[in-house]
Amino acid sequence: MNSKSQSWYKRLFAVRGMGQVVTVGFGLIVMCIVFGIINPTFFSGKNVANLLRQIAPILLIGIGQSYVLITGNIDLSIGSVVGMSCMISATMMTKGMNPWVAVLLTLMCCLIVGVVNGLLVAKCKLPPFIATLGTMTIARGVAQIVNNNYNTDAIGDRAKVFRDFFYYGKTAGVYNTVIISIVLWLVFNFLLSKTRTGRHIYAIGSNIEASKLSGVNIVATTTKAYLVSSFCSCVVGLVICATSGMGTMDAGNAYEMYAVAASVIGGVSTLGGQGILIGTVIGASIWGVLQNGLQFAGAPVAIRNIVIGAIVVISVLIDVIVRSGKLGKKSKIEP
Amino acid sequence: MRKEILRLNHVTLEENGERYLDNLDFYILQGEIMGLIISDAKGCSQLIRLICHNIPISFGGVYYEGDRVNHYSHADYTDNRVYVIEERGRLIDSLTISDNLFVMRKGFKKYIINSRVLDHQVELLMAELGLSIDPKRRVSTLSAFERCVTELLKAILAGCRFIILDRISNFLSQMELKQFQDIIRKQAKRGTAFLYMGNHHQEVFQIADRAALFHQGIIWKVFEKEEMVETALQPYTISFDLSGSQVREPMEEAVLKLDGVHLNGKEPVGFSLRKGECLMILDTDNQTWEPLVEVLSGSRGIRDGRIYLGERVFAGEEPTDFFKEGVAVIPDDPAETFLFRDMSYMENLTFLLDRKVWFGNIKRSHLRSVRKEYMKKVGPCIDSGKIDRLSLRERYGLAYYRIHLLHPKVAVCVQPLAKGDMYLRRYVLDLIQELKNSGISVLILTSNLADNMDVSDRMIILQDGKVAAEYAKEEFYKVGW
Repeated sequence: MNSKSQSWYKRLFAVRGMGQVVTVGFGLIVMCIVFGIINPTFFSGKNVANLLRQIAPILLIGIGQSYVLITGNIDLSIGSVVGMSCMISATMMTKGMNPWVAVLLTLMCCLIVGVVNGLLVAKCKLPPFIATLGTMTIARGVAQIVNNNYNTDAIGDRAKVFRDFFYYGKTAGVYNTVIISIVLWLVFNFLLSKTRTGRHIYAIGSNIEASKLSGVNIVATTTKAYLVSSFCSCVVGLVICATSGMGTMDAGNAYEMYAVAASVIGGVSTLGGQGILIGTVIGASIWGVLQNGLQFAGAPVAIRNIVIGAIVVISVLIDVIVRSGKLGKKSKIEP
Repeated sequence: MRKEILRLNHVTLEENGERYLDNLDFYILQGEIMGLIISDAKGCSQLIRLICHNIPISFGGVYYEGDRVNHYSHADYTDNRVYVIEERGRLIDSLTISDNLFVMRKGFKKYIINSRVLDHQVELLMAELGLSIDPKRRVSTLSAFERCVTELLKAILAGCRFIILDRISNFLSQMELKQFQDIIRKQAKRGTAFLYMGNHHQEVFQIADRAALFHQGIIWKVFEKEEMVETALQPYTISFDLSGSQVREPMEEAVLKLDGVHLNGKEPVGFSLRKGECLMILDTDNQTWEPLVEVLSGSRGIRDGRIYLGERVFAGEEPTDFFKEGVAVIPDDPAETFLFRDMSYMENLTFLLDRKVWFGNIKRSHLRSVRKEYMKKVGPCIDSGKIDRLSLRERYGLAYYRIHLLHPKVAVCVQPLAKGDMYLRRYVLDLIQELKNSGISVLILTSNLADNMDVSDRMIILQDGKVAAEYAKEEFYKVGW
């Protein structure tokens, strides 16, 4: 290996958490090849476009969850915020409100959940699991109550522009959902890797006491992470609303688990302080490819769930083993 | 005339009815290294908090850079610009050196971070100190010395003109300490004042311009440079001479032997520990003792070489449960890491006893017998329901007596004298002597000489991961601070 390629290699792996991302990325490629061999239509242009559109929402909630996990916390309210976003926006649009005003108001409602989560965890010192479990139930309740415990009617033709923007439309031949998730990924990746806020997010996940001593505002930084999470969940809710053309109360059910899976498979540490958003892309892609590929292979939903669950556990296990350096050979004990 | 940085004027500090600082009176000038020899640690943490955060005092006043910042009549908990370098550390492990120095600094204004610019600035700062540490390295990968240097730079960048060094020899090896002391001297010449706190007077005398003997919140004596000699301190210290205690001579038979074991360095390590012997391994650059502890505590295997334990031979990368084979490790700071807080004294003491009785069934008669035997050694604290309220000395005693009761072939004491004041160190030496006297071979792993020499029969010095020298007890005088 020459010195130039060595320095490129070194630089790549010097990035925090890149080792696991490369490993998982390699797994993703293998998976794609296997599914392509089982069913060649897996690589058809139509399926790839669809696959990307399936991955996009998982990537978005994965970004939100990654932000929160890196601070050493967890957000269980993601799925309910997705449902709340879907129901609030659809209800307002069915009542004749301008879709963009509805989007704006929905966004504000969802961000309130983010602020509440942040304050409960960082200011009131509630365990994040309990705090977000509470807001999860509350947000789901809001999603149910907003249209008197009914799913909404179709949002109608007035919202066509809204549906095209979030789901059906294409820009330069790529579905808008994919473009939205790419743009948001770029923004949040920049925020996490190149800004002071990003460093503070890593810092409080790594050592909260040292962060306090270094002048990091713990409450503000934690709240920002939860805000990113609720913002991403809101966008996913809007995508679901645009997809189905109506508001469904159980939209986003169990999405918080998908988000954790996408983050963890991509190498974000559940203990905080570690992880990169490129990993979340790979994690979400593995999720999408497995769903899509197993469907093509004719596997029932139950099998898909078992496989995906097993992969989540295995990725965390590999992470733990690699970090502790416990991959060793058998001993030879001599008498 | 040099500017006065800190002055404590007849400061008395009481917390919860207990007096921690008593009529403390000293000053530190700009560019001065003031030593503080910790004879008894009581009041140390209060002193640091007082200097950093202006906590309420019962009498006296504190002056920082000429201004009165604290007075017994009024304390406002304001922070003085003082940095403390201590074992706990204030760095963020998952961030790079550059991020820790610049981004994690109060008042860092730039929102978008240009890592190249920051890295370049760190390189310049490092070069000023004569060091070259890659600024892109994450703090979690740094050695104790590199962490200390990074903390020092952080303090300088934060504009601190006064830095407290809190017992840094507890986590820096002998060589690292010397290197770091050189940097401190350079920085002191540039005008930074230091309060150098240390448990060992030899260490403090080596670096300080003036030194004070701190005992239970009182300054007993201030030593000027010319007074910093062993004899001047003698009236204030206790004897570490163990010659009066019953000493059992080591036997020739090797109980533990390492042969060509690769731990961390390029060269293999080999040594043997004789039955009933106390062998001190001095790891001068902090490279070897941690991997050795990992091997002996069954956390990792060995790549090359063999470990002989009596008749048995162990090799291979699979970790071996040496505990089962009769090797017990007493970790550093056992009062914190070796005891179970929610258990009683007796439960802690007899925690390993099940391994010595039939089917692990500890009978009441066993407990009565243990209580009777150890009551004589530790006193009424043996009946404590929870160990939280025990003193540090009592908790150290509990940790060592647990091993004494287990009676393994080898007791590995990791940095036994790193923590604690003079009295605790003396007590730990007595405890090690007691292990020896009961026929247990003791292996002391340390990165500092401290007073370990008093109890050791032999010393091996490791440097760059290999054995650099070996001394018998009568040759110990050749090795000094």
